[in-house]
Amino acid sequence: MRGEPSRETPLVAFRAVEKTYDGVVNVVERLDLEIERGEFLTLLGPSGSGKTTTLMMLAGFEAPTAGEILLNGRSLARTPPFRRNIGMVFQNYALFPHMTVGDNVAYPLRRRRFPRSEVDTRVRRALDMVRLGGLEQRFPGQLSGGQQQRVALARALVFEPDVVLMDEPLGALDKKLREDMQLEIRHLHQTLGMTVIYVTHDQAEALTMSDRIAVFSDGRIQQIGSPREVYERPVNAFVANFIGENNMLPGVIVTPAEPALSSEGAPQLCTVQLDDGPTVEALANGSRRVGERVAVSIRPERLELAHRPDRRNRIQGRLLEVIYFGDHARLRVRVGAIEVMVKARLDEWRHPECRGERVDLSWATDHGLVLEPAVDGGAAA
Amino acid sequence: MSARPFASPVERLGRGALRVLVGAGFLFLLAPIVAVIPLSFNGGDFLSYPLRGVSLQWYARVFEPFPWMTGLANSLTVASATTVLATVVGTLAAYGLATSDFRGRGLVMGLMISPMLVPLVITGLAIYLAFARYGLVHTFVGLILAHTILALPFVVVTVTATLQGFDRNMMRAASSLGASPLTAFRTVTMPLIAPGILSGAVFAFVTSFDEVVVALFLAGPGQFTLPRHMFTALRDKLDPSIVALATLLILVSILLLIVVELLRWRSERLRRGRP
Amino acid sequence: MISADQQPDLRRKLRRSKSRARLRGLLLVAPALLLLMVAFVAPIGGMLFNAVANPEFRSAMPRLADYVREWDGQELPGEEGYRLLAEEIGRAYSDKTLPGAAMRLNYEQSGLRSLFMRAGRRADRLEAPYRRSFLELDKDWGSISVWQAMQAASAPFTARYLLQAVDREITWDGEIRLVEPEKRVFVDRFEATFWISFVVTSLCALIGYPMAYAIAAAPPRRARLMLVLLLLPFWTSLLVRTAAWVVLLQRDGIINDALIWIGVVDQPVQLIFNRLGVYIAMTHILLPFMALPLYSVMKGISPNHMRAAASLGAGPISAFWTVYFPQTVPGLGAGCLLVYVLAIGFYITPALVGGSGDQMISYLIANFALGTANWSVASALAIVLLCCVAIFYPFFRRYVGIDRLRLG
Repeated sequence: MRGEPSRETPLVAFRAVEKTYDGVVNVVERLDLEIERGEFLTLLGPSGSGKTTTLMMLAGFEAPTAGEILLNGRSLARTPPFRRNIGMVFQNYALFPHMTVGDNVAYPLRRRRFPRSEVDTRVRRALDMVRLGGLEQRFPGQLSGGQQQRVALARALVFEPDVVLMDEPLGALDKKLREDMQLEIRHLHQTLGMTVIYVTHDQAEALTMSDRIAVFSDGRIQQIGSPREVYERPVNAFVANFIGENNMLPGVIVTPAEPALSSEGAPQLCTVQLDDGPTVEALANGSRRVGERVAVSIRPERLELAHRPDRRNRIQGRLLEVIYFGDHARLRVRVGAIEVMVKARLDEWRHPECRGERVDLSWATDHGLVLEPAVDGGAAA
Repeated sequence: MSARPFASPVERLGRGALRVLVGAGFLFLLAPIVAVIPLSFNGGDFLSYPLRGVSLQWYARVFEPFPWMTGLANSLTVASATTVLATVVGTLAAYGLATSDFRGRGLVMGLMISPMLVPLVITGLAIYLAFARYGLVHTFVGLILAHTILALPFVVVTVTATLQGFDRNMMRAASSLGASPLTAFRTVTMPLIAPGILSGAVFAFVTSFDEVVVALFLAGPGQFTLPRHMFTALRDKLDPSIVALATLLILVSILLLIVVELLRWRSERLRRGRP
Repeated sequence: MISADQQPDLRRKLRRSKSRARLRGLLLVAPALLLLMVAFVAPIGGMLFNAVANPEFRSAMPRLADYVREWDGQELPGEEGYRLLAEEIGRAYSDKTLPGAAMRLNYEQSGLRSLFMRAGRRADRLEAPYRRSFLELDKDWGSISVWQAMQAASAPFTARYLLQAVDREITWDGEIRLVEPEKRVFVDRFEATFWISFVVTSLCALIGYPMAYAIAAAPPRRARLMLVLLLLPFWTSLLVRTAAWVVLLQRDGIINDALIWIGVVDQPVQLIFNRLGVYIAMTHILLPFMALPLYSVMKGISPNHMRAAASLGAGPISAFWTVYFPQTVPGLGAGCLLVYVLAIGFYITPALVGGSGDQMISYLIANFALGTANWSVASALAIVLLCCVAIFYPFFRRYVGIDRLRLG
């Protein structure tokens, strides 16, 4: 049996890991990352951001060009993939098509020379767990996409690996099934207490499932934190735009945050003169200079339509279009040179559609974040 | 394609013409093969219709030891040795070419398939001149080596095509589940590409079994293969027993074709994960 | 980006990590490569050498060869030369290397074989003064062309076989010219080879295109059956198919019977042992090589393209030419290339169903090698033929590739 490592050592640690394929561009730049036992960590990012490469290095299918990866405090540099004891669920499942479901799930147990009776019990238990009991004799091709996905899951879990890696495991499923499977995986994680590292480019998936999200872009982790932190306190325009929808109002700092008042990284209030309107207050993460060009980031659902003279943060615009979404409506509003997206509850928007009508928008001060101006600007879907 | 509801007269005419053309094409392909079969039961001495009675006399001739049965024995010896050699060497090469990327890979691939394209007379002459120096002319070893060269491209092409459809994640999955590279190859890769390798082997067998040009150069009377005897028979005089032999060989080809079709079917089923 | 000073180190690491995978690949390929080198590449290289090698005269009479190499070629050598000639002929005759050398000299100038063999048989009677002695034996020994022939035969390499393969010869003063009309046999055969291949390729394209289209358009099960039928002749031994055509096309064969019965002709026509027979049999054998690449390309063309064309106002004919046909060009190109290259090398089929005027260059190569054992001319012809095939090789790798070579 494995020795019990001390509580302080993280289960997985990336130490200054770099990866390059051509010796010129780093796919992964100096990655430092620690993953705790029992954690559900999601690596989120657009394609080519380095998240899959990070996963492949941990699984052992790619070797880091520099740095090292530790599992249970021990370096994996000389451990081939098949001795790492890491379970993996692949994008297209990689179920062995020539083996039955039972043989697929039994595969890791047979490689580890489990006694036959043990193999049978464990396979049955694993298949019951993913609600596929009784399908042992089927072949993968006879199953639906969702069932195949669950076989892949059972196969990756049955040998009780230290970590389970999932590389966009739900990418091939349709929307409804994907949402069911998200919950199912989350419940499995909670009941079994396993450690999961999950790769996806779907921000909604990341938000629903994870304990922590690491947002990747250009080979770097842009931000790592709880779903709430990442969504509500994005550290930069990339994160703000990549996760959820976002409005960016460009402007210039008028009064910076008081450095004396800022304690321990808590965001501070500062005043921003918007290019297309009034002066507003917003929260800044670091110190900002007077006259610095910034953008105020506000989520569409945080913008309120009612005329609220009591609010300090108000802007006006003209209505371009109303889009009906069933459970809510979206309003495209032109504010000076930019366009703002507003998510409105249906009861909030009862007016008949009227293009060109003037609308008042306001928001609570702590929902506006000062970020560096986005290069492309505007709202990103 | 299903019939279209609004086919114009031009289109209908075109469709009709296409049917006739395609029918004629298949007739052209199959007629000679089908037409010789009844002639093999001819009671007379001439290879022409109408048949003069039905007889198995030509089949009896086929099963006489000389020339056909000795030729068959030689052909089987050469073809089976060629099959084993070409399949093993060709599969290794195809696997190496498919799974790693070294400098000159394209060149090696080009070289592997070139025996398929170089005129057989050139290959035969070149190998004859080279083997003459080592006393390999008029030996089974020489003929087998030469046939292996000719069969290699077929194995490489078939196995490469099989490997192209092979999902690399399959090996990774096996590895993440605890299989060493060798075990992963044995338990995952091998069962999936086996049908492809087997059909490569059938191609290798047929290549050698049908080959006559290189045999003209390298086979002495002691190694005369079936096609080599057939060539003499066709060139010198049209012996009716050759038609009986041809009929038997057509049956063999149909059999091999079915084997390859079954292997392809099996391979596709395996790929799609069905029993 | 990675800073410049890190790069060499990184590159080295990268190389190391990739080199293991490469080494494994190379090891797997090694047996096949070795086999190909030993039994294919090296023999073809040897054949190339054989086509230009000129060893016969030099190995039989080395001292004489050295002497004529030095000789200025302007006027007859003196007594010294004839003495050497007598010694060398005598020695070569007794160690039985003279016939080979005499044969070689005969290529340079006909008649020299018997001249030298006669001198060899009477070598013991040749004595000083040698020149007189030779002239008494045969007055041709006084001709300067005999010495010039010896000079040509004494060089380590010769272009004469390669030139001969294209009906050219090199004169003693280095001029390359056409051989006499009655000796011009090879270019004619090359032309016939290319023409036959061209006609067969065209026939295959004409017949194969609609067939491939019909298979690609058929519902899956029927397409499978049609493919099997297409492949059946392909799997049938070449000799069996050739035999079938001989039987069918002969004077009292089925085709002639049918033609007479229909009333197209009133007496049997010659369908075989002529060009027509060659075209028919070769087209039959090569058709699958045309239809298969075409089929694989056509199968990949979405029927929506034709539907889109129709919706955009193209009639069936213009939709075919503007939308469908251009997309099949890669398959057509691959098929034509494959058929043409394979046709150029045909030997057995024309040999069995063609007349003497329908033989292709491979027949001549086999004939020179196996019939008259003239390995040098056979090798030279093979080299020229190989070059004709090699021209197509770059196109081949580009347009055909390994996928379209898959048969069945």
